[in-house]
Amino acid sequence: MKKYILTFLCFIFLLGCEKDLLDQANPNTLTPDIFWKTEADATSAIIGTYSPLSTIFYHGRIWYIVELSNSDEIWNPGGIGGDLRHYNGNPNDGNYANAFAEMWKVIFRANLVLQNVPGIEMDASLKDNILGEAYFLRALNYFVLVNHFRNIPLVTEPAASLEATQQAQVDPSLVWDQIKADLTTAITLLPTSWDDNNKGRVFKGSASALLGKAHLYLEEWGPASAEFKKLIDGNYGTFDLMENFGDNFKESSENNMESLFEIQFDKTGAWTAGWGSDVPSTARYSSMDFDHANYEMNPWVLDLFLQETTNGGLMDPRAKETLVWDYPEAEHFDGILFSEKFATQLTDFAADPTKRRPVRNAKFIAPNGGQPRAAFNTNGNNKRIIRFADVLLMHAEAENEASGPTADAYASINRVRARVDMPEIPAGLSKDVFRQRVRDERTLELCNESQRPLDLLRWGLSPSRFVDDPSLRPNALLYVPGREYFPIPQLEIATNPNMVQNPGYN
Amino acid sequence: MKLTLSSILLFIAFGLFAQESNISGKVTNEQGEMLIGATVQAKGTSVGTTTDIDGKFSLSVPIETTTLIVNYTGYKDLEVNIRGVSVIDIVLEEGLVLDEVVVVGYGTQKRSDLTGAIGSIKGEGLDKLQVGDPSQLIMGRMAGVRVESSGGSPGASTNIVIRGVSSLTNSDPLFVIDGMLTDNMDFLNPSDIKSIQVLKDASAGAIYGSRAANGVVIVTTNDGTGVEGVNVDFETSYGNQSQIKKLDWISGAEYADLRNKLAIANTPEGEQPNLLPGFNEFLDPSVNTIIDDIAISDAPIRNSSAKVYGNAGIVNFNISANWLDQEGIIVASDFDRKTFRANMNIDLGKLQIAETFTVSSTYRTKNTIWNLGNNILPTIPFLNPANEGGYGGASQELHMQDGNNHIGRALLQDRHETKDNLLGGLNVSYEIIEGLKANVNMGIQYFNTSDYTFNPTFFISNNLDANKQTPELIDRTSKYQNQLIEGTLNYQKSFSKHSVELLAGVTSQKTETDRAVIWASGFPSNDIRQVSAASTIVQAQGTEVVSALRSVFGRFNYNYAGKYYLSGTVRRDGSSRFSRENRYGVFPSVSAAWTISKENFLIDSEIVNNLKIRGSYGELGSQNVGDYAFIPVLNINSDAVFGTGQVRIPGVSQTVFANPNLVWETTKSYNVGLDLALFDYKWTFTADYFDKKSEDILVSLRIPPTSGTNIPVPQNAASIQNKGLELAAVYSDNFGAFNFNLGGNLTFLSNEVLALGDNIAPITAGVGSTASQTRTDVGAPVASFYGYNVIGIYQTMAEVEADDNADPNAQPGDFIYEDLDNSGALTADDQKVLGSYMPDIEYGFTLDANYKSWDINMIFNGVAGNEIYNNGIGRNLLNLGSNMTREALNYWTPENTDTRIPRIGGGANNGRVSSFHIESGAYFRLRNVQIGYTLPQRLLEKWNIRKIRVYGSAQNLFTISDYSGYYPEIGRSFDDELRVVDNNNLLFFSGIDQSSYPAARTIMIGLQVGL
Repeated sequence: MKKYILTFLCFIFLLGCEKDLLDQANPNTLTPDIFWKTEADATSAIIGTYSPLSTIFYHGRIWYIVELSNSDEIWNPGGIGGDLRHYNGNPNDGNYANAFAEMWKVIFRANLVLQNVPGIEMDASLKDNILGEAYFLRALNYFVLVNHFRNIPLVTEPAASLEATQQAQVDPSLVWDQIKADLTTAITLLPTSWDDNNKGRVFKGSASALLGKAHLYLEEWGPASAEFKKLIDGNYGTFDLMENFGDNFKESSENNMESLFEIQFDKTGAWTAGWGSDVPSTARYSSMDFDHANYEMNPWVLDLFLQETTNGGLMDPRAKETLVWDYPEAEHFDGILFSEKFATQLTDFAADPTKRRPVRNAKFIAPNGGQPRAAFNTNGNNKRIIRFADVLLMHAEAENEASGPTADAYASINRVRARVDMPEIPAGLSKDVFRQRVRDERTLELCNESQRPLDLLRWGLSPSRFVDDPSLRPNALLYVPGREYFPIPQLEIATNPNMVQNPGYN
Repeated sequence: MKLTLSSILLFIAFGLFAQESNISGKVTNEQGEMLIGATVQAKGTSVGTTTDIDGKFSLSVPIETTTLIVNYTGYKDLEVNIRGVSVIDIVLEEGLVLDEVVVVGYGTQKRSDLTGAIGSIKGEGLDKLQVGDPSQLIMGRMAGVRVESSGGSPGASTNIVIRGVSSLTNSDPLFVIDGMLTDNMDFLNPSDIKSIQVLKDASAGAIYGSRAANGVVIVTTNDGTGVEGVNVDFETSYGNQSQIKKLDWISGAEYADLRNKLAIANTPEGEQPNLLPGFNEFLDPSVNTIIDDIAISDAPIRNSSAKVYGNAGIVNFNISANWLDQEGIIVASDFDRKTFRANMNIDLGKLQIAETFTVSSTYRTKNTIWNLGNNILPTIPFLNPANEGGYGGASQELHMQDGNNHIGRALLQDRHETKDNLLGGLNVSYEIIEGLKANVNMGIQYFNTSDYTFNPTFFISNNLDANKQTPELIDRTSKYQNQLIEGTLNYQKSFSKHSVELLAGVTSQKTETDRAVIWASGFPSNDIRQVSAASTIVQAQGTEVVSALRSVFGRFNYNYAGKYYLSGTVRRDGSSRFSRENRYGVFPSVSAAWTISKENFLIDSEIVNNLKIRGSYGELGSQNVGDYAFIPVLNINSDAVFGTGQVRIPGVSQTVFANPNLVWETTKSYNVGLDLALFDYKWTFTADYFDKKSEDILVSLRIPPTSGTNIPVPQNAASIQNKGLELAAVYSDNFGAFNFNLGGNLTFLSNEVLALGDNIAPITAGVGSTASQTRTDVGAPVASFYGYNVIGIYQTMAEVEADDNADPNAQPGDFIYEDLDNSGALTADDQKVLGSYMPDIEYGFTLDANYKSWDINMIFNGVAGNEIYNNGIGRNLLNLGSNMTREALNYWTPENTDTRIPRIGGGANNGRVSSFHIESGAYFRLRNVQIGYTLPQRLLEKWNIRKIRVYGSAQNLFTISDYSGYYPEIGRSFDDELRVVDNNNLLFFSGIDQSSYPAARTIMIGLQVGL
């Protein structure tokens, strides 16, 4: 009997408890409690903050197209962003929603960096740099959001609970204040430049240029002019125009001395790996060749290029870098002679000058060795967001608005023109005439670089330019007040009871 | 060790059946009346007979037999000692059929003592149904238990749904196999099963707390108790499976004619019609490719088993081996399962030790491509030696379409699934003092699975899926381990008329799942199919998931004089799936019963033998939330490009929020029941009404994009109600030597989503790239069919123009959709709930009867009030791109207007998810019939054989149904090749017939030999 009892007790012994059985950590991935400890963690986190910028939903394709739909330079043929050409943005359109979500991903991740990196023990200057990048990236995305969506929440720390994800919209001026504050801080924290392995990360000059741009958009002319002047005077490092205008749009000369901020693309990865998700080998290339190369340009752009000639009496060299039309030997991006490819339209136009003249975009497009481009994945060319030529033109504009066409204002615009051997603009212009010269110069220099949509908006020319001239944008008469801004995506409205749809979309 | 033991036992077994002795006598009741047809059996053998018209019997029994078992319907079973006796008179006591022992959680109870709702099947009936999957044993035999068979695909899983779907994540019940808690039983050999009990209500299930909300299936396997000596049984059966129903496909010639007619009809007057060469000059009129001919054929099924079982001293044992080999009636599908099982009990008086051990290995060839539907044209030869791989397909230039010969693809593809399962359990109990037992239960389950796909290079057509230039391999493997250890104390005590039972226990369980996926491409040859030969690893993934549960539980049972019952159960579970704050859940239940028939006013009733009413309330849980769901996850794939070399630098980001407030799904259920037995227990009835409300059901909460993540987060928000009535009746009687037992059961069930939660969109799911056929929303059953309502066909352009609800592209001959929202335009709001896959009524009948040496067993089952979304008719009736059924020829034309088939070529407008696809899913069928003949004892005696029985059986011999597809049993029967919208949970695809694998009619013969 004792033997049996002992046998039983032996089995009972097996019931011994495993300690912490119910505390199971996730072994498959990083979790926040083991992250945010080292310098490497801080670096990984800031790289992760940049990551959404180059996805297909953001600058890789969708946002690029959506934003350009608000330009009078191109004539949106439909498709992605197609409803925009009718001023008929649909809150249920997934394209808005996806791009909108990518912007907020950057802001959320920047907020996490700002919350967690200060507590990490690491190299102090690298820590400053990383925090500076986070401030810049947050400001950059608020800049895009407040300009295009206008009524947005201002989130400066990561949501602490699920309830806290439901943020209400704020007055846009508060967003602008935050942008300026973030950029001012970023300038103090960022490095003047990065080493070769880190080229493409933001530096003091990037933040200064965006801060100047923020002042400019707010029509704070004095501070805008002063900020740009600091850049021109080399306070934040040496920047200059590339000798060759076309180098700004080539993959072989990315992150050059004219560049203040670019979206970094490469040709690896695959779009099939998942759109907009953080999955291995997701695509980080641009669809410029595929989408942008097919866009029709509005002919007024070509006319503007052809108005003036260089000091040597030649065509503005920027024309053929920017546009392709039926000039002799012109080839479209797929290697087909332009005159052949668009023969029908050219004949129609020749017979009837009121018909649309075929003009296409050429910027950023790399010739494909005469081969047609079947897929999206052929362009690793970086998208230039701010370059020094833009800084010079913004300086000329701000200076003119603040103090009239001063010598400084003239110097800046003429520096841009001098590179391409265009004559200096006449001395002694009135403030209004000078203003128009700067505006025209922005198109000649920056056409198809996604500057025009917001320029029109801040100059008060949107929607009037489209409503007045439907040839720039078909069916623009569907315009309803408020629709110069994009609608808040329906998913946000549906999931956030504190969110109100933008005017004009109810 | 075990192997040695079993071989010794086998050896012993063959030496046993030597000498015999004779015994005779008569059987009467207490009134002295002869009982005709009573069964008399030598205990531990299958030697037995029935009493004759005078109540007499005579029997030769093995010499070592000491006991006879006598039973007779309506009377208590009796065991009679026959040591040294050769003539004996036996008197049976009436009644007490109720005192069947029922296995409940952590113990057993007499049926008469039950206060909860428990369904039970056991004994003879179980081995008369030749099925591969043990779940099928329950079908049609238990009220409130739905067995959703996935058609006829060999080895496909079966879903058991107890009292309705009460979760949107997982509605599978908990399985307890010989004390081991696990989540399926498909690895068991059905003939090893001794009994299956289903705990349906909260009071029965609450002892399993957080796992019991979907019900509990308790399986007990054969262990050799009740047998004296050692028996050896062999059984083998062989059968043929055949297609139940063929569809009326049109021939190649008819199809070509149809294409030509349409081409002519669509050509404007005066112009020359463009007749496609594939249906004219290049048409081979002898080609007639009919899906049913090329893909479906008769298929054999074989099943063999051997077992040695019985008693040797202090050891009871049961050792069995089984091999099931089943081909599918559809090409490229089969199933093969081998199981080995060894159960043993060691009786050391106060110390009892029991072990169970199962090994099984399965190999299943899956034809998942069949589910895509059949779009080979009848004019295309199935085989085309000119194509790589040898299969034909349509072409753009001849037929204006690229054809995908899915049958050819399935035959080229190697898709198989293997599963090796090991389950071992050890149970030790010790009686400390009389009535007080301590018990330790341990179990380990382990399985490895591999789901292997190899696609060789081939060419059928230019269609995207219909050719492959690079061979490709995908192997998904998983390793699962489940460990359980439990300790319980059980105390039973009766004093005067009071009877008390107390149970207390602790348990801890841990499961670990390791998964790996390898996806490789580029093999040097189609014949080299191992990863190491691949030139490219497309994807390699591995994950590990551990979850654990630790619980304490207790139960209290009290009854007074077998009249008044009270029972209470409570379980407290702690789960690793929840945050520390929400980790523990308490699940209580109470129940009571009153045996009215034991009151004085009924106790002497001649009519009413038993009348009992029961009631229970309880709360049960489900921990359906995913592992680690409350912990935020960082994504390690958020890279970005930097540097002059433009290389990707790894980055980390948070892409999803966690919900730290996740808690258990909780089901609150009420049950009231009634048990009634009449006329000497010849009639028994059971009725149960239940109302179960499941709350805090997990749904995906979409969170605002401004939060910086856009991945939905699980949240406890929805609630679902299931209400139902379950009725069961049994009539047992005998006419002379003809004994029979007639059973019937009937279930009424209604299911309704009461709430989904704030900010939760209706859950949609469907097959195809854009449409969703089901929608789960408030006010309707889970996964209701949802779409447009067809109310006719436009006959003229004037009708189209007059209808502001018409599609802008509508033409005469197109469907008219009902304007449900009165918006003056056809919008998404013109959709409504069109039906549900869930039957309102399910019913079954069983017959068990024997007459002398003959026995018969029949199971009928049926469903009513359910619908099927026949997605197949979208292709077979509306779309020219594939085989078409004959009804398609009755398509609308201006001359043929009296038809339900719209014009052909109506495109997207007629192809909407609509009531056109909805059909009744009601059916009634003879699920199984088996007729057996046992050779007479006197013959067997000569041969020294204990038992020989031969039988013939048939499954699905007839099925009454109006369904126009192959077979109305759809289940959730399609596989992962389909593109799905929004959702991967197969629950939401229930009842969509997307080329479901049809069930087969199976005719079998079998032989059972007992030594």
